Amino acid sequence: MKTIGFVGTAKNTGKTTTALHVLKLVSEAGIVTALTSIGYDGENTDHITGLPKPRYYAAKGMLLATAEPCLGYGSAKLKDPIRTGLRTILGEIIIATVAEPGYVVLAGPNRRMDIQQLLATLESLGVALTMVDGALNRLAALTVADGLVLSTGAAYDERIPELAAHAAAIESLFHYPKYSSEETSHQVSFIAPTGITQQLALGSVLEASAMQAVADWLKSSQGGTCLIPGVFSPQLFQEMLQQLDHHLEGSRFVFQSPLNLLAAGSPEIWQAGFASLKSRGGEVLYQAPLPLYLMTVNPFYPQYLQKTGNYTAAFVDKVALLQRTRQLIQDTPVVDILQPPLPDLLKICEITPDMFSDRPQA
Amino acid sequence: MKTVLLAPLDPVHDNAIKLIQRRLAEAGYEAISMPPGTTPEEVVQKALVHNADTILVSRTLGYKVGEILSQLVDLAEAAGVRDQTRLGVGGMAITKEIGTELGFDGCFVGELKMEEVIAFIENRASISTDGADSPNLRKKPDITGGYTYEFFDPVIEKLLDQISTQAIDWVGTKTTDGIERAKIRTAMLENEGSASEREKLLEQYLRYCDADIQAFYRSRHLPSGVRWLEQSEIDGVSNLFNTSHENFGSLRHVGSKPLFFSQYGTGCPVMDVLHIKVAEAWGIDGVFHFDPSWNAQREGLLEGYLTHEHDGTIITLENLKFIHHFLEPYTLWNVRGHRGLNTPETQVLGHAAGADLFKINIPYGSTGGGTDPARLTVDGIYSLMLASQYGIPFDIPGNDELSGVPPYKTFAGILIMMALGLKLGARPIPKPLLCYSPYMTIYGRMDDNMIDMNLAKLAVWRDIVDTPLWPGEPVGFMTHTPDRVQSALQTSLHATLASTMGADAVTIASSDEAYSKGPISVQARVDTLRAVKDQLRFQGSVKATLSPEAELIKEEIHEKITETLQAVAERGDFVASIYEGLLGSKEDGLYPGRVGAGTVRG
Repeated sequence: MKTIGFVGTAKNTGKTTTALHVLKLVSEAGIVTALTSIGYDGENTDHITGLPKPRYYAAKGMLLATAEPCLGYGSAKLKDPIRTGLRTILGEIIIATVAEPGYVVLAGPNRRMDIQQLLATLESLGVALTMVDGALNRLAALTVADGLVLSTGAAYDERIPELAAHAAAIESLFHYPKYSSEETSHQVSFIAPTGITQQLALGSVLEASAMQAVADWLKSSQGGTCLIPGVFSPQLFQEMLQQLDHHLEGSRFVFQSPLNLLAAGSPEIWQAGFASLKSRGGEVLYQAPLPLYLMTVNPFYPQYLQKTGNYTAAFVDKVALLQRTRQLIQDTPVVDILQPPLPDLLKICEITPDMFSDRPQA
Repeated sequence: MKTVLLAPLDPVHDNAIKLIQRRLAEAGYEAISMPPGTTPEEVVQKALVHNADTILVSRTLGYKVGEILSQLVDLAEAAGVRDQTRLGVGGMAITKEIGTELGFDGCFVGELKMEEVIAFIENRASISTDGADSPNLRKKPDITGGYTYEFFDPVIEKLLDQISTQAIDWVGTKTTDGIERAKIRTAMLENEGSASEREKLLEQYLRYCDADIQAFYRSRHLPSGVRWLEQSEIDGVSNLFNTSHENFGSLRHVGSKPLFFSQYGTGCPVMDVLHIKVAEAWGIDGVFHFDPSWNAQREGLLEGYLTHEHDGTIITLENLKFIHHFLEPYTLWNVRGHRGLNTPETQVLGHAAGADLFKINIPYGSTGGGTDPARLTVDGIYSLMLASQYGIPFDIPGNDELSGVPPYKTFAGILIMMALGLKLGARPIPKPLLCYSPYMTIYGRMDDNMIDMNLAKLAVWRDIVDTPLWPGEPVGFMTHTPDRVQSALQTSLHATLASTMGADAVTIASSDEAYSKGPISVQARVDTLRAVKDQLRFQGSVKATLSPEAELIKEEIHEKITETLQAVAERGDFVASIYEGLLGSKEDGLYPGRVGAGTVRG
């Protein structure tokens, strides 16, 4: 089974619109698909801005994984409910099959371990493709996906140059290779060229003393491999690089995944830091790299009106936004889902009907 | 000992965090709080260092705040914290849907409830995390539970026995068109599946209806100002409220009573649902269905989804079921039928739609612009039998006092209704009026204050019978003005006065109810709910004691209730007592009702 995560840089950046578009394509291709969300999708209006939102429309035969109370919210008729034992704020996650097409409300599991369990169940049911909708800017739980589609837009930042630069910084983080060694650790660890291993008590670097320890390891050694299974504060990483001006040659930083970097924020700092590291003979690797199939840009943003206290729909120049982002991002396709022509998105997402021909039907 | 990390994630405030920290420490947890301005990174670092079992975040929601909260969730996930730590969020504007969207494991909606917080920390099924089928969803209260209806005053008990026996004997086998319709309606409900049977029963039904009701059924001719609800209107409200059940907070600060009720009856069932949902969200425990006055003055009820442009919402089975569908499972629902020509049939439909309470008062309903006393006595006693059969308690409003009737006469009437109900196996709830009593005002008994009189009116019941008490209807009547702040204040003062006397329930008005010049507004409804809540918070468990003046008034009322009941008993005819003004005379401002005069048969 293949799993694709649809994530965003903020609310209202177009995750659902993008997912709906891909969903339509996979439905037409006859692929047995399951839908879920790590947030709450399907409401008519945004909880905060009150502006209209796109709704999920599920085709017959599709499977849904959503919180029990949500089964009755949409117009789709559902059948064959299966309990998963996974609990969320809204209730237990139920897998159901769409008997008659219609609108649905999705509120699936949001923790990585729960998503993992759900995906295993869906696979056992013969699902060929699972599409997981993200929520706001959350993406760390989607390390379990086989690849991502990332949406950004003016809802993140209405300044086109800054928005495009931010998108390019994110995109740049997906191109580092897999760490080939079997070495893993739950703590931040350092393996010196001599083979001597040192460890911190924790798996993340979120305070100055932890960063200093890592810096000291590198200073006292000519190169070496640093494993960071959790997160590293980008600001502390930047500080560390400044300290290690002449000690980065032969150094390797092994992060868990690009999503662990993004969860810590500031992709521009990571992008600049990694460029600096590379120029000084250092290297970045991932324990579990993840492909970024596609980026989408959305000119919409909710504009707050001081006078009325309400939000209104506003847009940046959609052509300029797309052009600027494409200028900065060369290695990943960038589209505005609402600006045709669109490339073959199924191919881009590595979804081909024949991939699933040997699967049992759900 | 479980470790709980408390993070405000707010640049300025952390009061909620401090409060929770104190209460968690008292409950035996190691509660570590972080200061305002803490970043998500600092929270996750702290959670890692302390191996926190739970992280609780408090933050008021606004645009882009969601991203800060979800960053914490993401960071916790990436740092491996979520494998052993549960994340909870609370704060203004947080809802279950937003908590889900943000990726938290639990959320705390509305007022802080420590039992919910602790249930979350302990990973027990809790109210706000379990949704519709939670065994912890608020239970529907029973107002009459625990009361024995034992009379403490044997003289009054004996008089009531005499009066109620006479009234029931007088009714005997008498019947009315209203009773016949109720019987046919019952049969129609029992034969819902059979079109031919329904057709036959409808023909019988129409024989007992007025001409305009017959015209409605025969040619779908709608009464003036009435129209069908459109499907889009029905769907619109369904889309708005078809969500899981909510455990809305109550108005009470301490204890489980009084319960608070408000009326609805905008004329439109869709608007009624909106009003009810707002009232529920702000803490109401129960609602009344108010029907239009013309509903009470015609023989026969309409059917279908109907709306109209006047006060009171038309009673049809469809309208009632539609409204009932949207009630929270714990909200009490009273379908009133204490007056009018359709009193028995209203009970039948109310029961079929899921009513929890009825409202029946023969002396009140058969005076003023109401129903003929003989007619309402026959219909009313039949309705009490229905209430008994259905096991649905009935309340007895004492609003005839508003016409200038002295409270002791109103109370005597309420006591007779109680005795009738008890004799027929039903459970009554008296509703003394807490108000600026016209009679007592005229005679100078409320010149100094409004407390003594109202306390006395409640206390006297405790000397007579072991019964639930439900001051109404609504409290503060005759004190309200077009000034919404003033009206809300008066309602809250009266409501909390009732609370200090241990009342079981209280009916409250919206702050524009007396002067709305049409349907009341939703914001005016919220006015009083907020005012009452704050007044209850202010008062806490403080109880009232009667002043010497209040004691005197109470004794006086008690004595005069006895005298009134003696007069009715001596008259030996309950119906004649109403006609002749023993429970409220023309001099008091009360006239026997005339609607349905001469319609009793047998």
